Amino acid sequence: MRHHYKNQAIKKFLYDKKAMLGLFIVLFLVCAVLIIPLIMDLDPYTTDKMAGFGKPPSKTHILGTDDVGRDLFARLLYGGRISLFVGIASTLVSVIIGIPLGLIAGYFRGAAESIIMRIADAFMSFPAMVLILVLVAVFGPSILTVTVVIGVLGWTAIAKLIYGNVLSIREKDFIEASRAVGMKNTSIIIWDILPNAIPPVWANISFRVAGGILTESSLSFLGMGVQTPQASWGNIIYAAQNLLVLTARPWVWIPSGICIILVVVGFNFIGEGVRDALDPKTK
Amino acid sequence: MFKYVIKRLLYSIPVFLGITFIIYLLINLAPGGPLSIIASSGEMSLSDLKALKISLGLDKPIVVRYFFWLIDLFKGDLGISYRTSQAVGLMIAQRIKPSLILTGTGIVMAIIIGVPLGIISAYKPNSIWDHISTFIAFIGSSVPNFFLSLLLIYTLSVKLNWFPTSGMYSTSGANNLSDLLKHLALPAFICGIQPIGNFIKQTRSSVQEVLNEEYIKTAKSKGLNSVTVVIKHAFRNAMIPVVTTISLTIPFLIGGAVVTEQIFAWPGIGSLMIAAITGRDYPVIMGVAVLICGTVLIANLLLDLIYAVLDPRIKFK
Repeated sequence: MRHHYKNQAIKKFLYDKKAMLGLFIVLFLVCAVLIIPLIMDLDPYTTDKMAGFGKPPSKTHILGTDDVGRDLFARLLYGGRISLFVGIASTLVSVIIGIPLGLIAGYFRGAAESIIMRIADAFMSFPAMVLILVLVAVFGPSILTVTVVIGVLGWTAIAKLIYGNVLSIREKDFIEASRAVGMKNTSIIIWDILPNAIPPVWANISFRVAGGILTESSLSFLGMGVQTPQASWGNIIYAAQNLLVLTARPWVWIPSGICIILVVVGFNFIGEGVRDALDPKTK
Repeated sequence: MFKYVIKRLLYSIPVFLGITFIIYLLINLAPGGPLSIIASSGEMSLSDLKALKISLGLDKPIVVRYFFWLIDLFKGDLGISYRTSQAVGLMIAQRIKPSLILTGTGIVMAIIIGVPLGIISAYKPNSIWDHISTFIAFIGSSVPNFFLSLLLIYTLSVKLNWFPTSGMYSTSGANNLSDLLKHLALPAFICGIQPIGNFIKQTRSSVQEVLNEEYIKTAKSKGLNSVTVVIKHAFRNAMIPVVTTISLTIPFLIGGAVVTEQIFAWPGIGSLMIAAITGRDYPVIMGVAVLICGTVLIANLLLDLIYAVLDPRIKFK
């Protein structure tokens, strides 16, 4: 029975045009940032003195050079690696924290429930961006800080989703049956509750990756995220805070912006597709 | 009703203490505090440094220091800025009005545009309004605010010269309303675009749900015209989830305004925050955090009251 449901969901996802477009965009960008640097001889860190500083696109530098003479195409690709990494890794951190807390709150109820959920409410009512900025200021901006901070502050949504699912699953007869045959709480949580509580989270995971990339790029744009010489899509756009770069060299900042939009759209479409595929009400 | 308000008020106290304590703790654990800056300059001997540490109260445990900070806060004293040596409270007070103008305009615009569009698209699915709504929501959720800001500055300000690129008033000293509105247009639009999308989505789905209710069918079958039905019956009940969206938007808007204020050089709380963070000006960071935390809690409290007005059932809970 469950298998049938699973196959149907996968089929629904595969026939969803928007979801497939999203998947295509994401795979295309992932392949591009991973493979192109292996094929082409690209260097995102070294100044090309021959080409000069802040030059427009040319044959040797297809997206031109930045204000210190580094190849912008190379920086776009290497920056993409870092932006994608931060998005995915921070989501992983949120999941690792959020799932156990949601399970505990939903299964054991009582004090654990009120403490965990109250803390989640408090976190959700406070502007995440402000907390992230404070944390980055304290720990110093770097890829690691940004990833961990975005990830740690993202646990609430995942925990709430899992918690909500667990509340309804724990009342089901098969859980009662597992208890009756003497299964331990931890076994019940891992083998009976977790597999049933996770599916609705998949959609949220995809949205979170998109959100993580957006937050990272905003932080890097403010100069509080990924620091040069390392590149990220956000910190490439940082250069456009200079009015000269903004107005006279659009090739510096527009490609990175388009990449961010594409990847965000891609992950959002995948998320919507997953959500619809798992919802038995939609066809 | 009164009991309900008191209960909500009491609930926000631990949240306020928790968040400010966490931030206080983090800031005080951070490397590069005021003493290390003074120490590294080498102008003070070790014993002088120790005396200074004691006079500043930095030798006491962190919980005690937090407690003293809290007492000062209730006296209205937020400390002195490390960078400008001004009173933090004063620095923040100067920035509140510009921030309120910006985020206030943004959220009002989002409600004025988002809610009607949501109602129309629920009422007439697949109409042109529905498609416009979907598109706006799409832009709001997929285009990063800072990139959209840059695109707008590039096209509307630089190329077309319709709007100024930054600031709140022209440097020429023209301090009138039309000058302010010109400066306000772009950043307020940026602040509002994401919330517009949220309002459209939320209003659309809740109106759609209400339109399927029995009492709407009854009202229609009584021969009331459909506009009256939508406005008188569907609207009020559809508003409850919309109020939730407002309460979820406020913290988000304050966070988003930090980035927007920075880009448009808007002299508000957000740009003060960024300046304080880059300058490691901890008293100012702390002050801004307190202000934002307080604002969010008060806003949520007010919205809870609006709930109670919209939905009489809440009073009995």
